[in-house]
Amino acid sequence: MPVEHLLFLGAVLFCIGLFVVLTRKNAIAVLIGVELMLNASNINLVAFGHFDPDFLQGQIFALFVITVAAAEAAVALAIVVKVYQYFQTADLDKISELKG
Amino acid sequence: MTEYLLTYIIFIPLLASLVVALLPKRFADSYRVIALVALGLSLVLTVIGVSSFDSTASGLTNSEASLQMVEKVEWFSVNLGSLGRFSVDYFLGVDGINITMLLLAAIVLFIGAISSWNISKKRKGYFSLYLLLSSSVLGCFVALDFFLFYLFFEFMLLPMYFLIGIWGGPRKEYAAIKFFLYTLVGSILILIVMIGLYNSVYDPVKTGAEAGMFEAAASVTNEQITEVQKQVELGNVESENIVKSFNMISMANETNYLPDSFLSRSTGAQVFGQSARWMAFLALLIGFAIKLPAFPFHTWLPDAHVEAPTPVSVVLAGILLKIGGYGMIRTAFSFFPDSAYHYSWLIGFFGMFSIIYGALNALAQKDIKKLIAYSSVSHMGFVLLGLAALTVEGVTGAIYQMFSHGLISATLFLIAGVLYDRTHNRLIENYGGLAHQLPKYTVVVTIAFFASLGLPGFSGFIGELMVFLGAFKSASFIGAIPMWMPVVATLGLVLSAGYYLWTLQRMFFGKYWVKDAAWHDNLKDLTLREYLMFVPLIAMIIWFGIFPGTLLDLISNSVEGFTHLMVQAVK
Amino acid sequence: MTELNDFLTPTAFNPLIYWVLALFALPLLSFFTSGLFKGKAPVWSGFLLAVNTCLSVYLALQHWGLEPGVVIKGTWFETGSTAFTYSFLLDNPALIMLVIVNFISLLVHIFSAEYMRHDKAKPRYYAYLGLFTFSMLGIVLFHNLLFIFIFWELVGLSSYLLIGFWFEKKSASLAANKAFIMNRIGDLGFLTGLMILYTQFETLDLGALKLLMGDSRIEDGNWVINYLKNGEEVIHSLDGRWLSAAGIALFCGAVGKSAQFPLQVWLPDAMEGPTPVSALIHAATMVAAGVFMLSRVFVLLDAQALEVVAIVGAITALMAAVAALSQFDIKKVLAYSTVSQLGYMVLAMGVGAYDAGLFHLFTHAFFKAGLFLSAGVIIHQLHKLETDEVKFNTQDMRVMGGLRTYMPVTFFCFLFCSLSLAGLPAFSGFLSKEAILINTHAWSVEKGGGYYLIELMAFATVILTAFYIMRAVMLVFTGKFRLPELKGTPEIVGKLKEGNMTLLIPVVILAVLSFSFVFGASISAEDSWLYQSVRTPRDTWVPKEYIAMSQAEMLAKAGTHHTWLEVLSVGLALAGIVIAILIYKPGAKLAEGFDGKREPVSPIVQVSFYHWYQDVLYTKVILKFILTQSKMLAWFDEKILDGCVNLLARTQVVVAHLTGMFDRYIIDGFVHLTAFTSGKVGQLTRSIQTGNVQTYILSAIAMLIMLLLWFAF
Repeated sequence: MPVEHLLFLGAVLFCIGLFVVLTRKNAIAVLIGVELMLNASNINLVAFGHFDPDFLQGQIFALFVITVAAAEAAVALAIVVKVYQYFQTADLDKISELKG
Repeated sequence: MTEYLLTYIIFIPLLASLVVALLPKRFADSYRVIALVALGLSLVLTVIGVSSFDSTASGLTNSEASLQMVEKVEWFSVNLGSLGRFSVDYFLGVDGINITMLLLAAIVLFIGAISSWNISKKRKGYFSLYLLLSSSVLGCFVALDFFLFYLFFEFMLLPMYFLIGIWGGPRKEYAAIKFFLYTLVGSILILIVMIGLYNSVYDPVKTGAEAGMFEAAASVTNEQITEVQKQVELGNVESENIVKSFNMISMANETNYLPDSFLSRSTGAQVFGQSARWMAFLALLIGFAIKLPAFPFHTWLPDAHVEAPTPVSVVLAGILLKIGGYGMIRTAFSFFPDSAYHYSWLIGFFGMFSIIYGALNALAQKDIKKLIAYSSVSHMGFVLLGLAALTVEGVTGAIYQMFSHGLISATLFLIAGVLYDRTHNRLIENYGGLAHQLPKYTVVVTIAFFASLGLPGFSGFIGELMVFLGAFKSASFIGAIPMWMPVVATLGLVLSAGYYLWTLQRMFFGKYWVKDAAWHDNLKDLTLREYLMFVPLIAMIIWFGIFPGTLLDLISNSVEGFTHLMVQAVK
Repeated sequence: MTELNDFLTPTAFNPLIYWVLALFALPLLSFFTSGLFKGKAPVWSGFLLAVNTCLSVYLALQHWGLEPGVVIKGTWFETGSTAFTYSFLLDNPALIMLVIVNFISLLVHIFSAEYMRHDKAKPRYYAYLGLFTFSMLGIVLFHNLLFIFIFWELVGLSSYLLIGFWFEKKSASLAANKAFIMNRIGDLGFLTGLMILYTQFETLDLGALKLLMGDSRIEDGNWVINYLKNGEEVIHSLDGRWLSAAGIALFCGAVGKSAQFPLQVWLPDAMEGPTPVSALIHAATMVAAGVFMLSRVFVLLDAQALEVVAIVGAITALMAAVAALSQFDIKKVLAYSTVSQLGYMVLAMGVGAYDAGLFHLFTHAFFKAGLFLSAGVIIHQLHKLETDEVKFNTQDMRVMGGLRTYMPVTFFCFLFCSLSLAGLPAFSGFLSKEAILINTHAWSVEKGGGYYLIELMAFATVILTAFYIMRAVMLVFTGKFRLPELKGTPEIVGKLKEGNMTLLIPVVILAVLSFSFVFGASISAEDSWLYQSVRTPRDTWVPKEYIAMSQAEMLAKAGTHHTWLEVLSVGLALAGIVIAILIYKPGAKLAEGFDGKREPVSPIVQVSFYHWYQDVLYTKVILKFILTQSKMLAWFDEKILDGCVNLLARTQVVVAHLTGMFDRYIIDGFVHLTAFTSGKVGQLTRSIQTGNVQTYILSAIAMLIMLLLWFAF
């Protein structure tokens, strides 16, 4: 399987993730988008890991990313819960405390 | 025993003022006693001073030798490098000119304290301010250092402002602020000249000591002083060794002016295209004319008098106005005799005009206090006329007139106060035939009115007579004012007879009638306290009318010295 | 050359001073103590005055005829190099005046005891009389112009107090004011005279002035005097016109006090005072003080001044005589008569007849006081008829008539005094008036031309005088008593009685003194002892260029017209008397409305009744002018002058507000603008901060893409 397909898949996935991040109002959905983008990068890492059969650095990085993403998801979900408790909503449009 | 007499006279009331201010409210009833005792003490000391005054001592008024009871201590002195030394003395002393004023002030302040007896509002503030005022007035008359004089002069304003502004009548705020601002304008003019004079006059004794020409300042001979003056004249003394001076006696002496200084007679400096000395003289003249007051600077007087409480009116008319006249003699005329001569026509004219203007205004007044206020303007015109004459008789008359007006106007304001105390109304038209109800009061009023209109036998006559004789003599003697001025000014005598007799006739003669029937019960004849004020005042008015020698002996030598300086300056 | 100090050094102690001081002290004592004696005040004051009269008679006898009189000098006070001295001079005129003043004052004290019996304020009245006597004696005895001036004013004060004695009457207090102010106007002149003389001679001692005046001279129109002062020569020089001015100025004083034209209006009003006071002050003594003063300063007057004096005197005499013709009030008749007679005296002084003027002053004092006191008796007795129902003016001659039968003594006294006033031979008035007329004639002859007018006026006054006084006699004493008819109360007639002895004794004494035998047996004034005792100061000391003709020369030059002048004047007086008798004879029909009207009907008579409308002129024009002027000035003072001050203050406040606005809007404005600008910039930038994370991400990505693109190309 040529590596281009994988890269293409990764790019598509990334774009979908980005789209989700940019367009969804719900924080959870944004998190999902972020997860998609992370996974897209994982796909890229794994795909490029194909060129490094000795050390499999790509796969190892992907593992790291998955771990970090899990931790990030946990922290982010905790924040979202807190935000929800505070603002009574998870709608990002409505949470604009930092608006100048 | 007269060593620190003047200091005692000034500072006893000040001390009493502090005592009153610090005593708790519990002792409120004792405030007036303290005031009375303090001013009584000052009066006694003043009388001691007057009786120990050597009236035979003569001399020019520009030499310290002619002074008596001198107290001279350096107060402070600052080295200003090449600008010389800034030195202020605590310098008190009396000569014939101010001892009479001191006596007058002590008498009137004491009478004022009696008159303050029934003040009931905020007594603590009142009496401590009254004593403060007394202290500064007394100080003003004996201070011979211009700085000190100015200090006392300005310090009078503060208590006066509050005394009118708090204890006054319905328009007290307006009157108080008007009085304050008016006088302040005058003070500024005086201040300017004072600074100019300070820059021009030095103290030869201190300068000599500073320059090392002799050792102790205590035993300086006249030759040494002349030597210092000569050296300064030649410019041989370093500028940082020259000690500038505020000494009012030195300022009257031409030789104490620094060569090429702004106000020195030889420099001929100019301000606004006029001689600087003339301008300085005018500034001093106007400054004191406001206080006097002379037309056209008199409009504060009726308001201040009408609004002020009785004792304050008494002090205001009795003494404060005299500071104007005294200031002119001591400063303007003494320092700038040449300018005085130059402006004598103008001064005489304003004197004459004030006499007639004040009298005509008094004729039109409805309020008795205003009437008396305008009569003061008229009578103070005599002071100006007499001074402008620059003759012995004229100046003597001016001083005598000030003294006698002090006593008479005090009596007149007390008279207005008696009526006001009873009915709280001062309009002439609201009374008629009071002689039936208040016969003794009427006697007092008649005496005071006749004294004020210059009937012989009362002190006012002597002052006016001397002014007239001196003013008429002036033209042929020194050429200061023309002969028609005193002749025209005699009209003032008829007008004053007019307004006083008319008032007497309207208020006291005819059928008894008062506007408000409720007043009737309050209209009681004089009380003991009022007798205590009127009897001594009237006795003095008559005494000084029949025996003018008692006062003139004190005055005459100094006046002669003073006029001699004038004549010298003119020649 | 004269040494001034010779005149000013006090004389050696002279025991006479005690007598002089006693003369002053007794009336003064009366002034201060009358109040303590309450009801007994008349007795006490009368006693003091009696003692004083005795003293003065004794002094007069002791020092009679001593030339040039006794002088006592002392120093009052000194100022500078000038000493103000006082001096007493006891010479014949002073001694006569001394006796007259005290004597008439004593008679008035006695008379008043009855006249003022029911007045509660009696002590005050007697106190004032004491004050008056004291001040009058000052004028008489002092020989220093300053002191004469001082007592001059004090006399004015006592006159003021006495005229306004019944102060509850508005008219009385107004009359008192008028008297004092008119006198004051005259005194301005006196004061000016003092100023001129003092400037020239540095002293006001009359003895010194007389001598120095003789030393002074006119040089190039300047009035110059050299004298020694403390051994040093002093030269004083004034414009020559001041010499005349000094004389005229001093005369102004006399114009006020002696009620001369144009200040005479106060004297008729002064009749508001009690009648005895009118007799003493406004007939016999005080008003004569002006003439006496003129005699004292006679030698200081130059020809011009004397001319003015003569003219004023003649005008006054005629004007007042005309005014007296038509008065209804008996006291007004006498008042105008006094003014007119004073005019005679002043005229005498003016024509240089010093002695005649003084002589007339003395004789007039007696007969005029007699007239006033007689009138006082009538008024007093009529006053007793007044009840609560019947009120009338006790001084109105129209209610009188026929009083001769009720009050015979009063009638004869009044008649004798009237004849003396009219100037019939055998009466004192004849002697003195004759002397004046002869001298006036001599003077007119000397001056010639228009000056005959003065003589004419003097003679016209003779006939008028005789007429008006006889008119008064006829109206008061003859015919029938008109009051009962007017009031419809016939029972009143029986009640009218002659006055008691207290009233009559002074009147009789004065009436006796109006006969000429008292002053000499001859009918010629020159033979009278009194006339001879006051001879004119022969050498007038006025500078030669201004010298007035000496009296003796004038009389010689005019020739002796003695006889026909006397015949003429007596004839005129008789004519006046006859006319008056014819018009007002008993039963004569008087003009219609004579009884009731306030003023005479005929407009010509009104001119006389209102004294030439002079008073109206003064009150309606001059007084009004002064009052308007004073109101205007007060307005000017309050609105314009004080307005300027207030405007200044207000301007300052406005300026303060303006600077306040400047501060707030301009200076502060800049600060605000800066803040506003940065704020606006911040607004702009902050709009980028949407607070939406997605926007940030979007923009970050957009930027990233742009960066990539930039790198790529």
